[in-house]
Parts: sequence; C-alpha cells; structure tokens
Amino acid sequence: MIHDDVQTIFRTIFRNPNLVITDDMDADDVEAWDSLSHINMIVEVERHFGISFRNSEIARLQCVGDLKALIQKKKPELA
Amino acid sequence: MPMNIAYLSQHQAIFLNTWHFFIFAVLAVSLLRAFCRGIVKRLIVSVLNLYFLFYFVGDGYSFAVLLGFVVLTYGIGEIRFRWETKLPGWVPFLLTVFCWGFLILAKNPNLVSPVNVFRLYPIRIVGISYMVFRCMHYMLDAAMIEKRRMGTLLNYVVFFPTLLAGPIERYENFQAYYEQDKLLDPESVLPALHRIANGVIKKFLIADTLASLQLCRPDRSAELLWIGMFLQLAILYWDFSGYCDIVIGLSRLFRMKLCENFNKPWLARNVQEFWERWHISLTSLIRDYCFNPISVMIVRRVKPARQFPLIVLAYFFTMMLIAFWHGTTMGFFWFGLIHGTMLVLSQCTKHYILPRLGASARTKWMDGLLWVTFRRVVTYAWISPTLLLWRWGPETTWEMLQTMIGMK
Repeated sequence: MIHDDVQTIFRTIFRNPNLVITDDMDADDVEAWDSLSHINMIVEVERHFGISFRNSEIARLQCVGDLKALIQKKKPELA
Repeated sequence: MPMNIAYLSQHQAIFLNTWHFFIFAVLAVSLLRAFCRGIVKRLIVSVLNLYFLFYFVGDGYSFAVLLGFVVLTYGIGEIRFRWETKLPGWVPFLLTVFCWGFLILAKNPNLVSPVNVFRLYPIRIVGISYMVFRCMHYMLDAAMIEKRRMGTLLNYVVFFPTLLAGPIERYENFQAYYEQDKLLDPESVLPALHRIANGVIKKFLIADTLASLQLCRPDRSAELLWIGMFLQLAILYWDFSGYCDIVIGLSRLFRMKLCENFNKPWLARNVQEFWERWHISLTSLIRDYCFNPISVMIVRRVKPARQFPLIVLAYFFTMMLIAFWHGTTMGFFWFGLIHGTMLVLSQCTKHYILPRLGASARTKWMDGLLWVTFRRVVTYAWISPTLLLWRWGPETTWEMLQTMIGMK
C-alpha cells in the first residue's frame, strides 16, 4: 500500500505517469527530482499519509526505500 | 572552501606537499594498520588529530574556544536527545542562527565591531568553517543520534585528513568508522593509492603549475586576462578536487569511506546544477539545514499560488549563505548576489517558460546534444568571471573587466 501510494505521488509531482519506483531509486534517477520538487514531494507525502516529518528526518532521506521506511515508522498500521 | 586568496591557502598547500605531511601520513596509516582495534585505535586517532590540530591552530586561546564550542555542541546534543519532544519547535532555527552567527563573526572580527567579541579576542583557526558546520550538523541531528560520545564528537570535528578543507562528512558515517574494529580490505589499497596519485597530479602538477603562471592579475593584458579568467574555474576544480582526492584516498587507507565532493561540475547545464555538483558536502548540508526547513515551512503554510515567489527567495537566500560561508568580504557578497540572481532566473525559466514549450519541444530542444552542450558552455562562461570577485573584490574585478573589453 505504501509503495503504490508513494508511486502515485511521485508520478504526480515529477510529472511522469509511467514512473516506476524502486527502493534504491534516488534523485539522480529521476530527471525532474530537484531540490524544489523534493520539498513538494515530501509535503505531499505528509498530507497523503497524515504524518509530519522533522527536518532532521528529511535530511536523512537518501532514496525511496528510506522514505518508505520512514512512513512505515510513522504509520505502523500500514504494514 | 574558505579562501581570501584563490585556491587553498598557502599554509594548507605548503603543508600538503611537504615531507612533513608525507611522513605524518605514512606514520598514521602504519599505526592504524598495526593497531586497528578498540581503545588503542581511538587513542591513536585522537593523538594524530590533536597533533595536526595544534600545528594549525594558532594559540592556546583559539584552541580553548574551539574546544569550548565542541563541548557546547555535545551538551546541546544531549539536551536535544533527552528532551526533544518537550523543546519548542523553533530550537533548530535558533541553533542554526547561532552557528552561522558564530562563524561569520569569528571569520570577520570587524563585522558589527561594537558588539563583536572576536574584535577584541580574535581566534585563528584554519578550517573553522568546516568545524563549525560539523558542530551545527551534530546539534541539529542529535535528537536522532543513538550513540553520542564526547570523544567521538571531538575526533569527528577535528579529524585530521578533513580538518583543513573537508569534505564535511556526516557524524554517523564518521562514527561507523571510528568505532569499528576491522582491517583494511587488501583490495582497497591499490584504488586508494591510485586516488591519492590522481589528487597529487591534479593539485600539485596541473593546478599549481597553471596558477603559478598568474594569468589573471590586474596588471595583465586583455588577452591574458581572458585566458586567465576562463582558466580559473578549471584550476580551482583541479586544485580543490585534487585535494579531496588525496584526503579521500588517505582516509580509505584508514578504512574510512568519505563522501564525494564533486560530480563532474563541468557537465552542469545551469547554475543550480553546478552547485549540486560542486563542493557537494557543503551544499547538501546547507540544503538540508537551511533551504529545506524554509521551503517545507513555505509549502506547508502558504497558499499554493503564493509559494513560488517565496521559494525563489529561499533559493536566493541559500546562495547568499553559501557565499558568506566562503567569506564575508564585499567580493563574496557580490558573488552571492550574482549567483543568487542566476538561481532565481533558472527557477523562473523552469516555472514560467519550460511548461509552455510542451513535452515534445522540451525533449527536442532542451535535451538535444547541441543545446545541452551550449548550456554547459554558457554555464561555465557565466561562472568564470564571478570567481574574480573572490580574489580581487568588486572594484578590482570591475577594472579587470574594463581592461578585457577595451574600456581601459
């Protein structure tokens, strides 16, 4: 569930309807993933899952897998 | 890097290409290969760090201030870890302002001189920008750092290979190395030595040779100035990335994998991309602890229609911070102003112009080899003259530009 929802958000934010996310995917793998779209993606994930990230948590996100793990940590019921 | 003169300071450069440094490095590698476990290893790392630190820190007072700052960092880290949920949300902001204030006031004792304590008691610490940023990173992340030790923090802040000019490693990466008890993988030795050799060639053979020609000086002819101006960025790249190669290779011999500081910056198609590829450990830290918090706050709290102008201002502000981290003279102010404006223009192009082109036109024109090459050349050409400001300041830079275009 988390994976599919995150993928939908990524497709919207990065304007790529065919984007398929993987756990090791990072900003180098997505053309439109820059510092601004990163922020938009983070806030959209927060809104979608009803969670809030701390700045230090955002700073530690290296790849899609990290983001999914953080969502899982904040929303264990989604497992 | 903090450069009031171009390239690494004389003090740093003199040290790096001396027998003194070579013997010190060989001794460090040998000791850490022989004693790679437990408290003995940590003791050796501490002694090496302190020796290196004493060599570069000018006096006991400066050393005491640095030590005090590290102790304060550790104390703040403990408070944040233990009482994070009870502390107000503005604490990270306050800590960020405190670190920036300390750094800028310490680097320029004449700034706001009536209240600047460093005017009366100046400190002389080579590489202070790097040390303060390591402390800032620790303070801001401390709530999430499980293993916090004063000794590890001190060694992290003053780790000798990265003391003078980075890269600015993240605390937990350093901790993983510092507290591990493993031998170096034999297969890593040759690549590490290769990396060091690359660095020596780039820094001491290419960069220093080209820099010694001094093509870019106010007393040079217009022709030499043009050549010198466009060579500056390449020389700076060979100089700084060569230095990083030496440091990264040397650290690999200690079994520590430092972060990369450069990612082919000459391939940058605009200024934003340039700063994502240049001095990455610095720009990613400023992005994570300055740009991101401001931008997240804007996107969370401001209506979508009003977000873009504020985000663009955040880009501009971030660029000014990057400039002030390097130095506080008027040259750096103008450097930040120009690069900040270029970032704003880049964002406006992305926001207002590119969406109107349509996907097919974007693919055809923007991603075509010819157009991409043109953008890379223009980016390089745009950045080159701004580097004059670092070394010569606005007045002399203006005079040099006048000479170059025949107005003088």
